[in-house]
Amino acid sequence: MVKRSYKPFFRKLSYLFPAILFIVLLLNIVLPDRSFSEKENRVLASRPALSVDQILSGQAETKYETYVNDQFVLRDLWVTLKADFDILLGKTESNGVYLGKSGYLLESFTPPADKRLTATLDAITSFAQSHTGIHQYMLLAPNAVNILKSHLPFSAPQVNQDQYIDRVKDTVSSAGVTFIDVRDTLRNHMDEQLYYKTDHHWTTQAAYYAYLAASDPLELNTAQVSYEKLPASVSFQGTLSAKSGFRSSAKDELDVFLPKSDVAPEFVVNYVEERKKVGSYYAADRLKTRDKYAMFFDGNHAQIKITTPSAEGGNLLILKDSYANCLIPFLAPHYRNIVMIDPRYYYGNLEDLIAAEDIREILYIYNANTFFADTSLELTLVPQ
Amino acid sequence: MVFSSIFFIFYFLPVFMLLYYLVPGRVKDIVLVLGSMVFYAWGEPVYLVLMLFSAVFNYYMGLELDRIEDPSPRKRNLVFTIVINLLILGFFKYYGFLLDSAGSLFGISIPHPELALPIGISFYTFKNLSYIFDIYKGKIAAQRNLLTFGVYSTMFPHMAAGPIVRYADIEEQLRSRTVNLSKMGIGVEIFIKGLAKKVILADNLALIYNQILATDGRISVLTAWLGIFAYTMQIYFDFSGYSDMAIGLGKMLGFDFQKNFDYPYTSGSVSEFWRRWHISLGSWFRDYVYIPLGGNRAGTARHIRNILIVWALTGLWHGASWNFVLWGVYYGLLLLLEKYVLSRFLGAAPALVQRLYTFLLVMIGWVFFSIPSFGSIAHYLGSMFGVSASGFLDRSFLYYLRSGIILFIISILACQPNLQIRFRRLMRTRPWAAILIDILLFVIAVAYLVSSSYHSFLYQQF
Amino acid sequence: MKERTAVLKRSTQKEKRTSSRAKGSGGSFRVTPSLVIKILLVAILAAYLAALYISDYAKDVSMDQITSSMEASTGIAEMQKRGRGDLRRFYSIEEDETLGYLFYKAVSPMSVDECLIVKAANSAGADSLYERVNAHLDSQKNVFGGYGTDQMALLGNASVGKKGNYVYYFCGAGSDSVRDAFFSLI
Repeated sequence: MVKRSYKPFFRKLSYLFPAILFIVLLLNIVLPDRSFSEKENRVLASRPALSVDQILSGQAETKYETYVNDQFVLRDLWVTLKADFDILLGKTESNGVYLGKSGYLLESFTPPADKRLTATLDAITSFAQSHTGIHQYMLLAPNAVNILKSHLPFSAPQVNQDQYIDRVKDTVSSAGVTFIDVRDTLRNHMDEQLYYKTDHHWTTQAAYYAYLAASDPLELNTAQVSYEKLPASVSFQGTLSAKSGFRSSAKDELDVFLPKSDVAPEFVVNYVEERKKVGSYYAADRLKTRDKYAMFFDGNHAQIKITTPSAEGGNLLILKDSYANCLIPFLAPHYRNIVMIDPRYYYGNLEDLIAAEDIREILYIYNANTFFADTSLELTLVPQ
Repeated sequence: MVFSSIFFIFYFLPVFMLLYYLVPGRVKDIVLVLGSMVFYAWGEPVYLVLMLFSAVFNYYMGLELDRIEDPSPRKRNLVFTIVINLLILGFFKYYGFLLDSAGSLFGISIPHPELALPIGISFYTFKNLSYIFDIYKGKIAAQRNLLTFGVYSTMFPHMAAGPIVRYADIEEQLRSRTVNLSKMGIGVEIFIKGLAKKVILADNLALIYNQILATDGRISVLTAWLGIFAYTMQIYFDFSGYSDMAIGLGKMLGFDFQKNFDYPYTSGSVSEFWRRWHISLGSWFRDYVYIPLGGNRAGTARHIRNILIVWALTGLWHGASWNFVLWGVYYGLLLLLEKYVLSRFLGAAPALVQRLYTFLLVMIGWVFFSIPSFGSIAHYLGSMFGVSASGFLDRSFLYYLRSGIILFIISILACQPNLQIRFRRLMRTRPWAAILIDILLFVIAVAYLVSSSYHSFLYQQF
Repeated sequence: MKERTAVLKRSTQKEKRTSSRAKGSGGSFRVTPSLVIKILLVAILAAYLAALYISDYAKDVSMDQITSSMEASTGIAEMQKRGRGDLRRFYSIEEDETLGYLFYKAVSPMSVDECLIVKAANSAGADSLYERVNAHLDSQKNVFGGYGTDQMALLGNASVGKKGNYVYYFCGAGSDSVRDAFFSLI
């Protein structure tokens, strides 16, 4: 081996490294700031306003560092590189999301604190007992991590969601609430796409199966309408890819089920807080944004009322989270009036609402992960 | 500011270095002190006053100790200097700890405001004290130029997290040092390696250990060992990575700091481990506490006492909490055991056995270090030795092993000298290939820094 | 007398510079420049530490005063004033745990704009309130996470903390100026 010196190496590095730093510094100064990152689904930090107080307390510096990070040149590329390198290192979990098989991202299930769950179940029980005249139903949708267990990464530690769902089922059933168990139905259709690969929601297809399963206890005549499946978007990038950084360029298809009928049904969707009435369940302009799932009922709202010309059913109150949004279009034709309440955002008085709307039936629609983490349902049902 | 942040690397560093290289001779010192003040003030400006006070105070007391000849006033001034320095450290670092400990002893709770710990206070206090001690012992003369002393005392590379550079070691360089591009290249190389150790290895290893630590209920024996192994590697790459970055930055500025870590996990005994781990701290305690106490020269009983004092203090230096004391005393006992009992057997054992023995004891030590509460320490140790474990092997062990195996292999390779020796050969034979590797490491590290809102350095609390 | 001879003795051994300055530090209690400098240094340190120690405390201002001043000087009155029912609902804080509170929240449930100042009777009370205020921030992030990106940005910039026995939660576009206004009062 020829004896050579280190000098060429250090020489080259001593030019190259400062050059890189200066080029990046210049680019960072010259290139314009972005306000939103589609890839990360979040608002990027903007240049903080500086005040002496803030500088002295150190907050301005922290904000400035976040700003510099968020506005770094080619940020998306760096974020992708990091995620790819993570996968190369063998990482299969990030921020509570598993990188599953067949491209599925699965949100992990965090078991609820016993006290928390008991408080919610107590509230549902006492509400049921004080409203015996109103039929009550609960549809608790299992999450992908439950139905698609087999898609989890190799031996990923997971707590069984079913045992908690069973506990809810037992408790509410004995309180007189009819529990609509859709787990078997969904498992029977496991080979179809029941959950988005990049989002934590279930697909419209899964909601349709859940609707079929619910039609029996709810006594709905499903033969009344038949549906055809149409893709509303093929470029849906869900929240899980944003949350985890995995599969950040993967896209899902988002479908709507439209009734096969010549006559367009006449109904009114009334966004109560926003004082807006429209004639559709779908907000097509949401398809232009990152959060395409928000096309169902324009995303989350505290209170939405649906009025249909149906002669079949009565007045239904739905206490729900976002899983309900793609299911409710199937239910709507069966009821004259539906009031959708999202307890996370609804601060009104439920008793007054029930009396004013002459509610005859109540349906809870939640997905298990949200239900077990929820603190607001208890407060809505039993105001303290 | 921390080195492993986008702001430091892509804003502070290029602007500062440009100024530093452009200005001539002594003006560099002014730029360096001002730059260090910006670095230090960034994020916690109120504590800049404290850091500057410490510098000015010790500068003045250094002059005093140099001037005074009489032994007894000299000693009084030394004690005064030590008391003030330790008072500052104690006020910020140990005050809450002392109140809480006293409170729990008497079963009461004493409310007190919680002051944030000034960055690097343990490091700069010890650095300044070493200067004072060395003057007192007549090893060095006091620095008369406040600016030159300011460079030593406030210089940003070793300000936040060491190494604890001795004045005697860089006295010459403070007077005159070579600042040139090839030294810059050497510095860049060390800096990138340090950054990669910290950001790519340590931070990712931390995720694995934290996940295992956060498991509700029991874990299996193998999971517990895997977790503490991940932490063992994490803390090494974290701390030595930060030291490397400091040494690299020092080189870029024209300073040569001594190495702070010398492949400690290849040690054949616990005492060797401590000669290779955080060298500047170990030698500080040796020179300024252990030897003044009498070292091992005053009989076995005194030696045992001295060792235990030094190691309890070493533990306490790492954090104001009893688990650190426990960790320190654990090492004190191990060193005594090694000296008086084990050395005979250990010397005769094959090298592999020696290394395995050391590594296992060090891993167990990190349990004390990484978990604050005694109950949780006992629980974790119980899991490692099967007492409170859920079993020997379980699915989660396989999961963590599978998701960490690549990191573990890289870690094992990178904590031994071989990899670096090969890389150094590559630097000579194929400089471009070596540069490509360095740039690649840098790019990956930057990707992590950009992606996370920056990670704070683990050792900053000390 | 003894002192003087000692000094004299030394000055013969030592060069001039040292002897002239060494007088005072030779164990006397006489005021010398070096003693003054040392006392000054200690005084500076003591003043600095005391200032830091006190900075964590807050002036004792009544909630009424804070309320009227905040309502006048900041834009919080654009939100809706909330009472003890909402305090319980959003923060699980009972009115009688506090020495008064100021609570404004946007009318729309989809808005995260909020301003809360609560005063506790003592520091343990403040700690406990602070915990619940933080829990509220977490729960807000949980509600809007992955869904409301604008809300998440505001929540990320929310200013939540404890000063003396006051605990505050400011969220919204002007949260920093609201906090600055509050800090100038206490």
